[in-house]
Amino acid sequence: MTARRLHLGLMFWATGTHPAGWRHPGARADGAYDIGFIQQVSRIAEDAAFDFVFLGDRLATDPALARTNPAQMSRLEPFTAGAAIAAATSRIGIVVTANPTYHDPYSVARLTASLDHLSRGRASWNLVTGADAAAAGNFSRSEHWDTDKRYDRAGEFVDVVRALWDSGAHGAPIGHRGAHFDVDGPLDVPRPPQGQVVLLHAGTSERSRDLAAREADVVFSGHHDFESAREYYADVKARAAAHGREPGLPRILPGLSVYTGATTQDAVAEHDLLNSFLPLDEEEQLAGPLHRGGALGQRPRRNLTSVSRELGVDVRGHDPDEQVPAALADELDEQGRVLLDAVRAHTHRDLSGEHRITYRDLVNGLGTGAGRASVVGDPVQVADFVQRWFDGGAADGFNIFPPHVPGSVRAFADLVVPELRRRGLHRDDYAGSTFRDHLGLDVPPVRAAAAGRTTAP
Amino acid sequence: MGRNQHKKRPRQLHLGYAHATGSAPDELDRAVRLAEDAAFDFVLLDGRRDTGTGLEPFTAAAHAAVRSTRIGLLATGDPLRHEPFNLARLVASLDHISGGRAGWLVTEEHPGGERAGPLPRADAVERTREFVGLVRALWDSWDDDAFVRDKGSGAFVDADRIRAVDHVGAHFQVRGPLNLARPPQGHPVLAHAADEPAAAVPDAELVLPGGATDRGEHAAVLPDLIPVLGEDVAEVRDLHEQLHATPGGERALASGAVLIGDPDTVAGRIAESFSAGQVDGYLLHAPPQPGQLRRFTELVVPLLRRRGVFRHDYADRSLRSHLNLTRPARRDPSRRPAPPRTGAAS
Repeated sequence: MTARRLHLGLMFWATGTHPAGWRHPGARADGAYDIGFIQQVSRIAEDAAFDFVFLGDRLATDPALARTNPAQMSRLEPFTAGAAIAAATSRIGIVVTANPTYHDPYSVARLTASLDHLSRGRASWNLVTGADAAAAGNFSRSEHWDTDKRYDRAGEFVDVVRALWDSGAHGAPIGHRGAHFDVDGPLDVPRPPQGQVVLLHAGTSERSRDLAAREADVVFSGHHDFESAREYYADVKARAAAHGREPGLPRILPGLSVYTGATTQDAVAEHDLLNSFLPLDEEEQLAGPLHRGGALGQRPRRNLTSVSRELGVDVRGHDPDEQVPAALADELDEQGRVLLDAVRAHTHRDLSGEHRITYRDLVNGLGTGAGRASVVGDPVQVADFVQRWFDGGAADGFNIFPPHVPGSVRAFADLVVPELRRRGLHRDDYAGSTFRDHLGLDVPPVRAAAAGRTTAP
Repeated sequence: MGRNQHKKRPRQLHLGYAHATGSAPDELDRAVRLAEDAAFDFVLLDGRRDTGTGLEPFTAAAHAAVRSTRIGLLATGDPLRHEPFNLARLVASLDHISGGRAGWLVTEEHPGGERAGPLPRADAVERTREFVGLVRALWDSWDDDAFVRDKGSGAFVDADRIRAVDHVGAHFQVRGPLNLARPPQGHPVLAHAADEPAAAVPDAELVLPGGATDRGEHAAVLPDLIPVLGEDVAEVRDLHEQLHATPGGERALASGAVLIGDPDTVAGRIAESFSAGQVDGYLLHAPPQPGQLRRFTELVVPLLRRRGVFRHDYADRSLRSHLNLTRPARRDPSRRPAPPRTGAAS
């Protein structure tokens, strides 16, 4: 029995995962369309023995995305980009996002199987069902489907895709007749080298947790704090066991933004630099008193009105660069302390002492209490964070979010990976050449063809 | 719309190669390298059931794209199987990855075969025409200079240079814009399969395989050609016998596309039909005998060059340039498209 090792993914957005990552002096602002650049970044992750590089997707665009993640507004189509990454790498897994709500199963089976052949067994399909209502308008839909409708379709979709992958082995029709699809098969691509392409799923809803537990090999989750990550981890593993899954499956990988440098000071400087590119929004003119919480589902506006709402204390009217008085801590309730504690952790500053928190720091901390995890620190501090979650039953590894690209990817590979290896947490080299190998999964046997697929419980 | 030809260049032979082996990436790499070293116009990645590669065409083409620098990459894409938004992305993305070498062969990949759910059949021609027009409009939803990417000011994009498509048609309703920058070629090359009604893709720039019938006045017409080359009379005779001895060989012979002979004979026949204006070039397919593509590039291509009908090297990098096509300007989306014509386009 070998020691349990971390699984590491690289969340690739060409402009970085910090909203202003592309403005970093070392960042490539035009990297989203330079396939050579995308290949180069993938190879940095491969040289660090990452399990996979992850290509996210969105099926609708809006120029407003330029303010939050420009690569989400406009980028290469993931399967073609994945095939190009496959040509320039030999070990790293390649995760490509495809949405059953707006695809048909034959096409997805064919694209994923083909990518698995081209990469010699390194393909993975990230199944998302699309919470983005705007996508419906690009696919001749009169309305955005609700969660149940999307997951009903996704469940059958996965069954059909799995049967089609296997049909490449025997060449017999699958004869699928279901509520959403009638598909004869067989697939016109031979069975993928991995047998079944690695399935990855991300989502937080009840239906999502269940699909993840039943079908996913890897789950990509988003939890900002240890306790909620641990709750999610235990819940999904328990559901998976109830479905009769092999122990340890699915591997659960929260997203983690990493700001690092040789010293804590360097890491903090990097974090501050990127945040300095984010403008403050105008304060709202409120008629009545301030209420807790903002508009649901919207990013908080970057101003002291939003900070006041989140803290539960009215701090409007201060100069953003003014230091926050120590007495503020005494006025905060539990919810308010979440923001303050996040800002303390990310800035390594406090309300007293040499390095003081400013009101602008509080603005920069907005939303961190609801988003993914984030760590700012030197390699030891980052490794401490990772190890706490990994050993504490909150993660099997992480999907690493690089704030700017390629600098943050290189920093993680050069600084943090050696520290993780020193602790025996991360592999020294790949043990195999397929993504399933990295996950410790065998090639599954071919399942029986056709008969019973539509009548199985 | 016209073919927008470069006027200054002399008419030249166009050669494509239809890759139709297994799913092994190595074989694909070898074929693409051979064809590119011979300055072929393009390789066709064919996803049709009967002639397919065993790989999905756009992923295979993207893989080939980053292992080549000049040759065009044409992939089949089935309007009955894909959503317009998804296929517009695949083609545009291939064009970006290849640096302007992408083409899309609009064709039904699995006629009469399995279907992913019920898809309309009766009005397939009108549906395909709407589909193709919509894909072109999506490619045009971004201006070529939409990106600002000014680190100093923080302006990433000029929102006025990105426009919705707002397509409302009989078959599709697509708001847009596409989530991809305008392709390097403006519009990647559109090819039309000759065995399907021409009206479905009235503005195709390439017809594959070009048959006896005239398929639109502007498109380059490339019939199939299966060259079988022997070095001398005896080998030519042996090769001919081999063809008759295998089912694959019999099928090739029955297609009428086999051209068997020594290199002089084959080059002569190709040059004559080209010079007589009967064809614009050929889409080559490998016969069952191995090594024939290599033989063609090593023995026949130099003879075609000596005759002055085929390029010595690529003049430029884009597939449009290989095919003597100019880059189309972005169409004004506010202008109404012409009403669809019915019946045969030509």
